[in-house]
Amino acid sequence: MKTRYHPISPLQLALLIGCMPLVAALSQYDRLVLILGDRGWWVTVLATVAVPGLLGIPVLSISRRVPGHTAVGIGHEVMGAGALVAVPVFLVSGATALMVLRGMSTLVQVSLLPKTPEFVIFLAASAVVGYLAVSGPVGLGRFAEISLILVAGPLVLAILVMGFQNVTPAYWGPWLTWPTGLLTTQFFGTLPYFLGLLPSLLMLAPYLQTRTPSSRPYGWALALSTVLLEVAVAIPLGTFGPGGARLLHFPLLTALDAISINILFVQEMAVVAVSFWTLLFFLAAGVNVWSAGQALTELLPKKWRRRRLVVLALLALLAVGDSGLTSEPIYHQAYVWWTLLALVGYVAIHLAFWPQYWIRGRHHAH
Amino acid sequence: MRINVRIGVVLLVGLLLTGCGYGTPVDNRSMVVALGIGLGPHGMYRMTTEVLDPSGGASSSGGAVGSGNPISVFTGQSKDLGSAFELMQATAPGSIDLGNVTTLLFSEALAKQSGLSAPVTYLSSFGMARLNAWTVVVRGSTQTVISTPLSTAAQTADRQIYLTQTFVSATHPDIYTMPLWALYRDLSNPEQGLVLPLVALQHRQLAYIGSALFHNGRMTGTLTPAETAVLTTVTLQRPGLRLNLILDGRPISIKVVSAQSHIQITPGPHAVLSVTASAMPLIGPSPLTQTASKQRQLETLASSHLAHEVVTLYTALQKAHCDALDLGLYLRASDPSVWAQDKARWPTGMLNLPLTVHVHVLLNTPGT
Repeated sequence: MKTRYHPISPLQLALLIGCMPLVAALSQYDRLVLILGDRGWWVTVLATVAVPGLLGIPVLSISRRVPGHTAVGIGHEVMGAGALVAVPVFLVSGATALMVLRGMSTLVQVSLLPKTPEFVIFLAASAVVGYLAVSGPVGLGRFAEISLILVAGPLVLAILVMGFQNVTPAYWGPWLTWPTGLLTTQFFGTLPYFLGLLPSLLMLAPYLQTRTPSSRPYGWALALSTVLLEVAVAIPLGTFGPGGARLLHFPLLTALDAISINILFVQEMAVVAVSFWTLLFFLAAGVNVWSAGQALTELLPKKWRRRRLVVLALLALLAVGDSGLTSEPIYHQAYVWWTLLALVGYVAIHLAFWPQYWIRGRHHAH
Repeated sequence: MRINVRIGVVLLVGLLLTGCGYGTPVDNRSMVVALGIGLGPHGMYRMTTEVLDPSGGASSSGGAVGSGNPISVFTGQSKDLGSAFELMQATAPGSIDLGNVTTLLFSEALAKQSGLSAPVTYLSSFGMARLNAWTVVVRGSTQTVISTPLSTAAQTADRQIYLTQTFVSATHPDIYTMPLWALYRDLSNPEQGLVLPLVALQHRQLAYIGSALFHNGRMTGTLTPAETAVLTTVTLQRPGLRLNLILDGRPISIKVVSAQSHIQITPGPHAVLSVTASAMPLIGPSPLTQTASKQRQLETLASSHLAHEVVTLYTALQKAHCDALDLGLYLRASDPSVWAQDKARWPTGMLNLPLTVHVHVLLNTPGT
């Protein structure tokens, strides 16, 4: 049965999806720079967004053929095997939410609250993320507009204008050489961090205002992410060189610390930056918790489908996951393989049922 | 009622994030304005801090400070930097806070024997010192420099070392200054050469005596103030360089007011440095500058003079194995295959990299 959705604007969808790669880059920067190398780094960054971006095209194609349905809803209606589609969505979104929350806790602890235990930050963030997830795509969309346009906008401008003052452009060269980081196992190991946008896209696509071509905001989201990601990589690389950027845990924050803005009474740019970036993390985690919760709701019997309870259970699960996987290498390995397996499973299921999508899509169109 | 409970829960959660339970009140902190790291006996690290004491108390463990001077000095020394800091902390009345450090002093002995890599890594990795702190190499003991009351009126005011940046920069606008973050950059990348200002205590005054050159984090040579002025013109493109010339048997001085430079690596590899500078005569109307032909003569003379200065500078840099002209950086950016071969022996390999210098000085003579 077709469900009525409160629509979200193309801009909101673009922001909700576009924040994901940036958040991944902020929390996993040291890994990213290690993989990028110093030759042809910009191509590697481009590929980091392009690979998940291309995977999103079939997703959009399906959602346009069967309008007004989430991926799980399509699965239910079209092939009666919605549970199979929901499982990978739940796994990937849940893992991404955990990655985002964990990354945010570490970032906030290192830069703002060094003496506050990490789990306290995690729990406080979970409360905000839970509220956002319960409010649904409409609430998330509004939050995205307010936080990103009003708060992150001027900050990004400041990074672009002030951040380049300390940059040595020669560090960015040579431009036209084969990227050393591309097509290595480490590069593919990083991709899952950026693939987190796909399940969100799956679940959010039907909420888009009707009569809007869904590929356009998706294109905008990818373009925005790519530009911000290139800038986020370029500033620390140009400021500290490849050697310095490899050694720092959060090179972008350190690069912002090196900016001197005495006239604005703001001497520690990084403190302001982290304060604002937490909004991005809230947003990315909120979208993923909502996606995972929505997938889980579809899996549960009808009488248990209370969104708040589902989100609460999900957050409790994430908290357990966070405390249980304290070893960083184990966490990263688990996240990478988990995400890859889930996505391969998702693609396999979709390919298997593609003819049915096609036929039912034409049926819906008529 | 329910909304009140919700707001109450939010506020309680917010309290957990303030870190108040572990915080240190401002009046229990020792705000450091200058930090010195040098070598003590048996190669031990010696840390000295200059702490602001707004109450005006002159307590000091490292040396007497002028009466009523709101400065205290604390020292700690140990075989490792962490222990030296802890020992220094033990003598200070409050928690030592390096978040306001504006000047970092490294002793020349430390720079030559142990190098700056360990202190800079220590300061950067713990996020202790401000990355914008000004860095300087001190001839003699950093402890002596920090704790000796300086004779200049401005320097014996509230903050003696804090003002040295202003003092030295104002006296010598052509000084080669470096913030802490740039040290981190230069020490982490093999293609960089580090240059820091060198100062010394002379007759209870801080005197700028040139620049310290580094190779792999260790001090390997020095530049005179005149050579440093050429370096700042060529690399940092700062104005202020003064050229003393003789034309038609008469002395004439001109001052560079703006400069542009460009380094290109040609196949070979071969480095080409092009400098275009705009200069003004430091005299009024003179027969040496009044006619166009004389001006062209003066420009040619100034160009060849500056080119000679740059070649002399390059020789001094080669002797110290210091790539302050960033030739390695340009080589890496323009010819990565050659750089990959030469990386291991850089910047010693710079000794074999020929440099061609093209200088074009344009004379700016207002009123003629």
